[in-house]
Order: sequence, then structure tokens, then C-alpha cells
Amino acid sequence: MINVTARTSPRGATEDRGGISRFVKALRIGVCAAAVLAFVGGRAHAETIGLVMTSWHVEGVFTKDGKSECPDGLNPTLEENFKAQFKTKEEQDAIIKKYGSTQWHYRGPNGESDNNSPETVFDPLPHPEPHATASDGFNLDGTQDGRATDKTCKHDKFVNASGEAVDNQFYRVTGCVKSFRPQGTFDGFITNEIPALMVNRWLIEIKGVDDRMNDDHVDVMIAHGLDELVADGNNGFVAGRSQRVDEGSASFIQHTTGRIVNGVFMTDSMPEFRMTGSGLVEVGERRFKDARFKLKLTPNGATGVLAGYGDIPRLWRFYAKTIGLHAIASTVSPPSLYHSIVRNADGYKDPATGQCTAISQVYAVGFVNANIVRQSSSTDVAAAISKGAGAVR
Amino acid sequence: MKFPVRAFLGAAVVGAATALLTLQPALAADGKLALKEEPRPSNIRLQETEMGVVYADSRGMTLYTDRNDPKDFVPACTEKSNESRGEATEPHPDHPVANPPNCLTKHLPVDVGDGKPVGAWTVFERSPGVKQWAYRGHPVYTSVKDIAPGQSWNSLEPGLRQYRKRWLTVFAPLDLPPDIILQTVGAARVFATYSNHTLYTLTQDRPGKSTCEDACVKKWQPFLGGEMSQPRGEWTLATRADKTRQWVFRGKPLYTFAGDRKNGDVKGNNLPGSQVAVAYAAPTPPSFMTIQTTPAGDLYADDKGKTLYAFICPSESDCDDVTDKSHWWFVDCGNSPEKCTRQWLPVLAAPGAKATGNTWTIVNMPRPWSPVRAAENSAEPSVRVWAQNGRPLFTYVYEDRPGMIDGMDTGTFTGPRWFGVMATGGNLNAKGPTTQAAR
Repeated sequence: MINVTARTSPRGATEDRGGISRFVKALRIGVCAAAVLAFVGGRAHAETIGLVMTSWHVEGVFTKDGKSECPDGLNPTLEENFKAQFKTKEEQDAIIKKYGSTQWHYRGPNGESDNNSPETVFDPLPHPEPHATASDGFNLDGTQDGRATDKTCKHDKFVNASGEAVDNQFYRVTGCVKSFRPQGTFDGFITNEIPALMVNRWLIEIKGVDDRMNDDHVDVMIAHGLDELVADGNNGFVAGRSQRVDEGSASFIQHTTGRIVNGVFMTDSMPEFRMTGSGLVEVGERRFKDARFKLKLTPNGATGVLAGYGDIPRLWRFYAKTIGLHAIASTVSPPSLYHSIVRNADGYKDPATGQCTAISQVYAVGFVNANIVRQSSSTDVAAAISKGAGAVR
Repeated sequence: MKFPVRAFLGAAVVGAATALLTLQPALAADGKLALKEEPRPSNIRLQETEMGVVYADSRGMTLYTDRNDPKDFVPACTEKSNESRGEATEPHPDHPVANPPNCLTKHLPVDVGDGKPVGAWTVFERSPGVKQWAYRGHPVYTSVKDIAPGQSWNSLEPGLRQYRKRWLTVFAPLDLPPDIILQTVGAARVFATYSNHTLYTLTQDRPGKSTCEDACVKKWQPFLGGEMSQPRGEWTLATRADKTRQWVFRGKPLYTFAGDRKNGDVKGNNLPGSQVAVAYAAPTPPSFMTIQTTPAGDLYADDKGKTLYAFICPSESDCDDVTDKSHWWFVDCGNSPEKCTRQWLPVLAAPGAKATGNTWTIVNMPRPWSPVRAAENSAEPSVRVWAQNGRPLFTYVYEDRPGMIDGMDTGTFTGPRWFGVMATGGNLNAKGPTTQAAR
């Protein structure tokens, strides 16, 4: 106990000065310790959430038979369009004989491929588009009614579960296309390819999470991963395994910021977001403008959406070499898809032409938790491997 | 046994250098590995290539076997076969389908002549009076893709993603202990255990003596011989502290890496103090070339990091060989050569540039270009373009950053398409580029 009453005694004064000094020192130490503890304690509470992507689908309304959202029916196939374009057996045979193809692709006026040059072919059969108005996503254009602006084109908005107006024109393109619908060829292939092909291994690391329910600022890293997914016994994937960041693919390591609101993690808008992906075993790059993730955090992972605009030429190149290349198996007609994309484009208006050059897209994505391993040195690589970070590429 | 002084010194020099350059192979066997002695017909000869010594015909042209050959000895490659990967080849628009090339116009059976069966070489009678050599039961062919001895251009090694490698180069077997095999890792060939685990050496070891004990052996597992294992040539056995015997090549004890999980893994490469036991390093690419790590794997790229692509066709197609039509290429760009030439940009060779070997060469392409190289003596206007295994290399105009894969898989359903040139194993080359992060 420190005596502060005996200041008059010289000795005591000395002692007293010592006592005060000790008090001040103790106070300083205490304050410092408290500050350190507060800092450490605060940091100790800040956690990191690691996620690895496990699923990818077009977002929108997909009922089992499609009748409610697609009252005009589902899409006609390439064969049906070919036979509608060349109505008689003689015409069809003449085209096949001339171009020697059983793929029905060479339908352009000069024999152009309907997939690689879809702008040259106009399918005679209508491309049905969904009438549904519900979709998750973001309000990418900032309007409530989808009116045309200096930068966007007029379109109808969708409404999310919270009643907010959102943009998802790509669903209008694909909502009534069998292959994109649940268990459709394209959708099914992607579902299988996410664990099977390493181009689909995508990681999100959310750092500085003080509260998993509400945090107004978190740091986010999105990167390509190197380790395989391990299936569990419940049609899902094992959560919590290690995933090494593909440090070599450095241009795909992307940083942004975000927040958590009521357990929903959202990134801020990224001017450009790049990732690789696959479809029907072909691979390519997906690129989004004004991209955002919105993910409901769960004990084992997260589910939600990725939204953003896709430039039409780049978007088409991806779909041409995936679903378009396998158009027969996918029961799609590439020109119908292409022209629907152009027709529904809603973003990045070309001021010269007034045409929009990009289309809003929303994908439903799922993740499981992962222990994300940064490989700052080759030693760490060995450590990660020796710890059983998973099978290697 | 005579102490391999030169080999030891070479290994020591390399070992020292690798303290700074861990990508250099420890063994760099430089093609002088001992071959297994086996008899061969008089019109079959040995021919050195960058991937190793191969069997060749009397002209020195590399021999191949067809992976599609069934075991009942009916060849898959006939004048009636115009298919690849088990799929019908999609005829090309505007291309007359009469008399298309077939497997036998692209692959030439090696004639027996007056030869008699000897050793692993037997005679296969394709049709009455037409006799073809077979090696270990598989009929052998030369390929029109090869235009000079020492080439192995019908093989798709170095690898191309997802493309089934139908044609297999007939390598002359090495004189290896039964425990050891050669394994192809992309562009390189490395030593591996009989169960396909890549072998490594450690720079910490002394000549003929392992220093890897305790914790070290959890990561680097000594590759042990059995009780009956016997030294063979430059392959010896060193007794470890626990009395087990470890395989040693040219004085370097051999290990497997605990992190390798499947055939062809070389995950231990690049780790501090370790090196893959390389038998034949990847052919040396031109100096401007880089390797970019991408989510689709390591790919060769130009000096700006732009991915390199080659247009590859099913082997029987009238598509990508000298004098073939280039129509297939135009499918990708709306039958418009002009559009194609804007999309796919040939990797032009600088004036005075020279091939680095038989794998990375410079070929002539007609101007305006197409992926089909011109005949060597063509008088037509042409451009000089870098090529891998005779296939001209291109970049894709839409790729605006290093390490992209936008062009990969672009093409047609049944085969002809653009492939990124995979660099798997490329960094096992002492003289080659190191892998770069695509930034």
C-alpha cells in the first residue's frame, strides 16, 4: 500500500517520494499493461474466416418444371433451329453436304460457325425468357426502376428477398435454358468440375473480423487455391481443411474490403474482379466489373452470390468455348444465347452508339470453411505439405 | 568399379551452384546415360533426341507406337481410320471430304525389308505381303510431322493440356536397376521408383553417403533397395546407419518426397536443399521465353508474360501439317482469315534468331499466316515464327495481362483447337526459364 500522508518526514519524504514514484511507475505500467492487454485482447478477438468455393450456379428462380417462371416453355435446341432455318430435308442435306458437318454449326451466310460468329446467324425460333421477378443480387445501376442512364440501358429490375431492386439480366438470358437450369448439362458439369478441376479452386479470406455478426470493416483477399476439395458423406465437402494460396498466380490474388451485417458478409464493389472457371471441361477466365460478393456466413462456410457486369465479347468467348462448343450435348443454340445477351445488356453504355456493352450477372455460390495457407517461402510450402494440406495439383 | 570422377565433380559443381539456383537439376545426365544392350534389326538405328535416345528407321526418323492399338494386334491406324481420341473427326466447312487424309498418310509403317525378328523386335503382317516392324508387340511408325532426324514432333510432349497423347515415342531403354524407371514430367524425364514416385537428391549429402536422418527422413524418405538388389553401372547401394541399403546414382543418395502423392508429382522440386533427379532436362527454350504460373498450370509465355498457344489437330486431320489446309483455323474466327490474323498473333523470330535445338525451332509460315507452316523450301512469301515441335506459336490478342488462359480450348468440338503450351517440368531445365508469378 502506498503511503501518501507522511510527506513531512524528510525520510518519509524520501520514502514518500519513492512511494509516489512507485505509484506513478505502477500507474504507468498498469496503463501500459491495460493498453497492451486491450490491444492484444482486441486483436485476439479479431478472427480470420477462410472459405473455399464449392458450388456455382446461375442465380434466379428455377422451379422444378419451370412452368411458372417460363410460361413460354424452355429453349429450343440447335437441331430444332437448324431444321427451322433449313426447312426441307433437301436444304438440310445440302448444307450438311456442303459443309460436311453433322454439328449443324455452319449456318452463317458464308458458312460461318454459329458459335464462333453468332452475330451472323439469327435463329428462327424464339428464345424464351423468364417472367420471374425475384432474384438475389445487387443494385448495380443504382436505379430503382432500371431506367436508362448515361451509363446504363433500360431494363426491368428484379427484387431480392429484402425487397430491394437488383440487376441480373443474365438470368433473363439463361433462366429458360435447360442446360443452365438445375441438373441441366452445363449446370451439372460445373457442379462436378468444381471439385475435379483446379481452375475452379477459389478462396476468400476475410481478415480482422471482430464480430461475425456485425463488423463495419473487414479486409478481404480472394485468390486461386492449390488443394483439392474432399467430399464428405453428405453430398458436400469437408470444412476446415487447409488450402494453399496459389502464390504463383499472383495476378489473381485480389484484395478488397467489406463488412458484415447481421451475419451477411459483403465486399465493397471491385472495379474489376478476375477468376478462372470451367464449363463442360473447357477452361477460361471470367471477369466482372463492379463485382461484389454477398455471403451469409454459416458455421461451416457461406452461401450467397457474386454479382457484376460482364463485357459481352469476353463473356461470349467464355461461353462459346464451353457451352457453345458443346452445344448439341448442352441442347442450346449459340446464336439464341448470344443475341439474348446483346438484347439484355444493361451496363457500360457506349456513348457513341447508345448500346450497352456489358450485362449484369449474378451467380449463386457456396463455400465451406478452409484454413488458408499463405506460402511466403518454399519452407512454408514444405510445412503446408507435411501438415497434410491436401492433395497437390 | 571405377570411381566416376567426372560425374562426381560435375555433380559437386552443380550441387554448389544449386545453393543459389535451386532449379538446376542435380544429375543433368546430358543424354549419356548407359543404354540397355538389346539386339535390333539392321534397318533400325539409335538416334539422339533432346528427350533421350530413341529408336529410328534407317533415315534416323523417330519411331512411334499407337496407344490405340488393341492387344489383339489389329492396328488402329489404317487407311480407313480418320478419327482421333475415339471421336469422328468433324469435316471442315468448305473442305471437300472426298479422299481426306487418313492415319496411314500421316503415319508410315516401318517396313521390315529383309529383316528377321530379333529380341523385342517382331514382324507384324499388316496385309498379305506387307510387313511392319513391331517393338514389344506394338507396330511402329514414322510420322510426317517429323522432317529431320532427332525430332520427336509427333509426340505431344512437352505436354498440352488434356490432349490425349496417342502416339508414343519409342525410346531406347536405359540400363537401369529393376527398381528404377524413367518418368516423363512434362518436358523433362526424371528418375522414379518402380512405383512411379519421383526421385530426389539432397545437397546436404556427401558423395555416396546420406546425412538425412531423424526428422529429415520424415520428409525425404530414403529410396531403399531390397536384399537382392545389386549395384549396376553407375547405380550403387549405400549402407545407412540402420543397415538398410539406399540407392545411389553417381554418388548421390536418392530419396522420395513425402509430399508427392501421385505419378509425376515433383512437389519436392524447389524446396531448399533438394533437387529432382533429372535424367533428361526439358529442352532449352529461346531466351525470351518465360514460364507463367496460372490457375491452369505452368504455361510457357513470351517475354511480356503472354501465354503461348499452338493450334493442334487430331493427328489424321488435314489440319496442321506441312501442306495441310488451314481451313480449320478459320472456324474459330468466322471463316475470316483477316479476323484470325487479328486474333492470333504469331511469335515472330527476331532477325538472326536460331533454333535452340530440335524442340524449339523457327519455322516458316505463309503470309498472311495460318497455323500451318509452309514447306521448308517454299518460295511463297512467309514469316519466321517460333515453334515448339514444329507447331508455330501464337499469342491471343484478347489477353491483356500475363498468365491469362483466355485462348485455351478455343476451337472446335471434335479436336482442332488452341492449346496453351504447358511448361510442366520446364523449370527442371538447368538452362531454362524459371517459373514466374503472373503479376
